[in-house]
Amino acid sequence: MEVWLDRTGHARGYTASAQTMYELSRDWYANRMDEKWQPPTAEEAEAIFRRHGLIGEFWSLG
Amino acid sequence: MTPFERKVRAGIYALLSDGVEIVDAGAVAESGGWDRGRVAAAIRSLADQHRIAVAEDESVWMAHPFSGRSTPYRASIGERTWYATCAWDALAILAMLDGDGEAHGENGLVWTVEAGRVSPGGLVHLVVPARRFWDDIEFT
Repeated sequence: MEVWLDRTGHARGYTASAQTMYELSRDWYANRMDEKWQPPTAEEAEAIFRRHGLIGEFWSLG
Repeated sequence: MTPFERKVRAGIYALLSDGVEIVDAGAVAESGGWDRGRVAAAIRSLADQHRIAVAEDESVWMAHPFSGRSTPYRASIGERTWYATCAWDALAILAMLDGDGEAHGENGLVWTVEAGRVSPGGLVHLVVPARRFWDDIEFT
């Protein structure tokens, strides 16, 4: 990670396991292809993040 | 979103999931039997609402997790392949389509997803906080 940050010049953001991001995606993109899909409200989105342990300022939408 | 914008949005996703390379107003209009100008207006509105992102030629650039342009990030299920907007979205395509397959990233990165398990593991690094995802969606 340190090598990648040095190489790209990016600031450190948030690091999550690939498994966590895959499981988040199952919620985040659930029904996304359906015509009736509704974008989540900020509260709903934060609840989805929370269910996968993604908490704190980085995941706050407030 | 209006009812028609919902239909157009779903049509965009259907075309991208079917592997159509350039999804524009013409392609969406043809797939749904709709007026091209009306579809073009809906696509612009969806972009304004951050439901999709459009390229300069007004074709669909991003309908997350799909990318309408080639990127270093891909997902594959069997012989089918889709471009993703980032490493997370390469995994997300497999999740959304509920398929076992591979997610490809930069520098030869390959994750295999089988029965919901990602191997060989590893990390995804997000640079941009959630509330700023759409400030510069290309960078995000």
